[in-house]
Amino acid sequence: MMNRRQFLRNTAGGLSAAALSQVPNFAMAKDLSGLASNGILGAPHKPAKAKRVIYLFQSGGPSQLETFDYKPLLNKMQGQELPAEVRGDQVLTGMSAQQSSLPLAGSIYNFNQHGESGAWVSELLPHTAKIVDDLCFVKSMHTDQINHDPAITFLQTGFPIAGRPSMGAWLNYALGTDNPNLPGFIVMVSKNSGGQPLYSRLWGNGFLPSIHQGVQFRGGKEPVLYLNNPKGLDLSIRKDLMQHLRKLNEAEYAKWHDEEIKSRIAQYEMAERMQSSVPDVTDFSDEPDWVFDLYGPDSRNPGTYAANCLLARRLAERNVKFIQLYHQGWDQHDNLPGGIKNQCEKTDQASAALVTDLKQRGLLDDTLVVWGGEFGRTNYSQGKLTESNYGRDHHPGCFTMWMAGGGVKPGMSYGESDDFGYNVTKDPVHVHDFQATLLHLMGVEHEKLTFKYQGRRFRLTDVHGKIIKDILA
Amino acid sequence: MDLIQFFGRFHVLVLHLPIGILLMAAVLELNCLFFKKQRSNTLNTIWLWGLLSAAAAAVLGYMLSLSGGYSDEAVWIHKMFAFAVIACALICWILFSNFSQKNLPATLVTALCTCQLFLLFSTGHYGANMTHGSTYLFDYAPNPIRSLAGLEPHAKPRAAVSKLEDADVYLDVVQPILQKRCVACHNSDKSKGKLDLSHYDLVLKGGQSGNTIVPGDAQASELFVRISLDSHDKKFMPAGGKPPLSDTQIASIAWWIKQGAPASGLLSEFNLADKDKQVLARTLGLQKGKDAWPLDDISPLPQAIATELTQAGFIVKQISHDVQYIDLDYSVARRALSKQAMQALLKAKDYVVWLNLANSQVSDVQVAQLSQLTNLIKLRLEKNPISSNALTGLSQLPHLSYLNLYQTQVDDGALAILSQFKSLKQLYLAESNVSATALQNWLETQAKQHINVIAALPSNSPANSPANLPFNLPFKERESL
Repeated sequence: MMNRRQFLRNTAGGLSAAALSQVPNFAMAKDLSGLASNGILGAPHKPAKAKRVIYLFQSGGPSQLETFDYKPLLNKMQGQELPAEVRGDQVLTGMSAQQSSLPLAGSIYNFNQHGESGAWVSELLPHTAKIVDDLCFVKSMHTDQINHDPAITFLQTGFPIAGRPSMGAWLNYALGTDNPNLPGFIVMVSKNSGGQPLYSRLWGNGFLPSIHQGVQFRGGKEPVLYLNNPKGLDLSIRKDLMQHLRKLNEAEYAKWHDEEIKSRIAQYEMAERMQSSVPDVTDFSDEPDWVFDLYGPDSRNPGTYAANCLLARRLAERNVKFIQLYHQGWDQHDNLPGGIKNQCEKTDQASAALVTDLKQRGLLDDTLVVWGGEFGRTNYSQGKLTESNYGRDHHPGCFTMWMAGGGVKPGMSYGESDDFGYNVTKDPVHVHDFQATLLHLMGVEHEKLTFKYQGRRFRLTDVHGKIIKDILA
Repeated sequence: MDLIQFFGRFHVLVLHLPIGILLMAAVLELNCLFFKKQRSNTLNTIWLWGLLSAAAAAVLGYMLSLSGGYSDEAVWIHKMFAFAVIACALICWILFSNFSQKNLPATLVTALCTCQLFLLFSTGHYGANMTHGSTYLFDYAPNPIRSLAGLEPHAKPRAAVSKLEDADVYLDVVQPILQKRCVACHNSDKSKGKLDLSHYDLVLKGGQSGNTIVPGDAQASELFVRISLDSHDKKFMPAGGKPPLSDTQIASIAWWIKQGAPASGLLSEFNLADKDKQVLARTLGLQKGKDAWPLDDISPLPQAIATELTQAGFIVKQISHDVQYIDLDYSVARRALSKQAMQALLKAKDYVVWLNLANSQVSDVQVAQLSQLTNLIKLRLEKNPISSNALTGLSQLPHLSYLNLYQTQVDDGALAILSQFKSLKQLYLAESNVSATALQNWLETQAKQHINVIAALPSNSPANSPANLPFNLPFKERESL
């Protein structure tokens, strides 16, 4: 006997398969590669400027005021109270709302202009300063969220509450794979960098098929576990096992028409291919010394930010569509001068090296590199302001990100904050605008990429998002 | 009075009854006559009901006409024909029900029935003219039929402009934009916001807000403001979630307003900045937009070739929904470019625009064959053992704008060949055997070409100490455009 649910599943599954094969792009997606490798769209909506993204996520909220947003007025007004009209109706976090005073704090680090574009960069980032003519700074970023988890979740998934698909998952769902031997969405978290926690749902697939979730490489010598065949199990036995497993899964699919079973089959097969593709990409022995020197000494130490940047380049060379790095520890509520210096030392050289390396290999042309955190930091000191020490609280009202390559104008700054570095005064860029622009560069129209779930159609940008046309090359 | 109007409006319902019934009666009468069939007496009843319904329609019609709003002339002619219909139907009913057809001359029956049909259609036609307008019926008629009906032939669409200078500022630039994007809601019949954009005078006259067009000042012109708002704005036009006008269209309208919103004039009479020229040329379809696909349309790649390419190890991607050219990647196969792969590639030669053959042990001979891929735009050949001579064939590719020779064996000899490339914009020579001095010299002689060369010193060069590499690349890039 078949119960009602089984009946619905069977008929619906059969019908939708028949219906979908009538949609030209779907048929194309299946047929051109035989692997559904062209994603749900079959082809991008518009010719893509970027074919892959490397997102250098600086988790914790790096201070814009000690890195790229030069505000000499804060030094002049050092210690004075944040004017009420500047603060406006901005809500503060519980951490500094109780303070009796909100003293303005200028950057303890000096700024200089660099490159032909004359971009201001602080002395903490000497390597980034050398490549400013390749970068596009967006100094008018703003977000809706003031705390870490909702803010990161918002940037990565377009919604502050957990459960929506991450950007990388959306793009892989839309466009499919460019290399069947590696996952299209790979995540690396720098080892030995504590701070606000990260959760795997940040690179989750949400309601999309689970085949699109980000695959995390572990920081260390063995980025993916259990790639080697277990002792006593040779390749032919293993292959035999996989084949039978597939048959079982297919029988199960024929019975239930559950798409997740297909995802399961695909994941097993991917894992099998990763047995050879992952060692190939993670083995740095074919890199000459000058490459390690370029990325800095840490790059020889697997799992560090520098090594992850180098690995990101190697993954980009192999067409991985979305490569997401996280580096934690940018949450300087107190002891900011020391803390941010340390963070910059760990990330500056490798971030700049990645852009340079991609550029000389001709990859920056169609690879979009993004650097940035989940929000900015306050222009006033959290805790006591002294001559050599201060802290900064979370600030959603304005922060700086940079992008490079992949169809973005090089050597430009977009948007401006006020002289207090507190509010955006020109060309604001909301998180949804950034996401819309990122999809646009990948050839995807953010308003047309939807997934129907629980009775409504979802988008990465919800009902918002404007493409930042002025930064498109 | 209200009650009369209430009943009067039933005219448009009831009028269909006499049309149907009298039509049936006349046609059946003629049918019996010509095919010599037994005439049924039911026909008498049909005539009677036709007569009665015609009379009822006439009474209701009279009531409707009392409400006014119709021209007297039109009502009069409709009324006269209606009386004629009733008279004719009365005669028919009396004659046909009192004399059998055999006793009546066939010509009389034929004449009466034909007359009834003619009167019926005429009454209907004049009535319909009152509700739909007199041109309704022939609006879409082909020209020969229009001329038979005594109407002017359709206005010919303006001939496509082939030169920017010959275009008319309003008729060729502005009007087509308005026609395509605005007139559906802003015309003489449906003028939302009391704005009619179908003719120049009416555009300038404006709508409710008054300042629709302020000649010379786009920012003060409501029309420009509305189309250039954020598309989420309540006041944004076109309203109702329709896609915004393109940037080019908006810029063209802004330019026209700034010129004083002229009614006519050839573009050659205006002093056009280069930027304006570009915008106008795009609006007129004389030039492709910045982001438009540079090649002509092509039919989809045949499935058999796609399959062959996939089997040979290529990742096959269509460029976009509208662009059927393809992007091929062999590099992820991580094996040498096989003979089979090369064959498949050449079968798709017209389709391939982006090609990645990095790290695939591509030989000089194979590179030479790539010259058959005449639509190639981006070619990645990095990490292959190819020499300068292999490039000769590629120099003839008309669209090749990106060429990646990173870590190849090309040497100084390549530079002379590269000079002959037609569309090259991005060139990657890092870690090849091209020497720093030769490259420097070449770049100087190439000053007029807009090539962006990116080349670090080859890694085996003694000058290549880690300290000055690669942040201190001597010719890291050079941009002249």
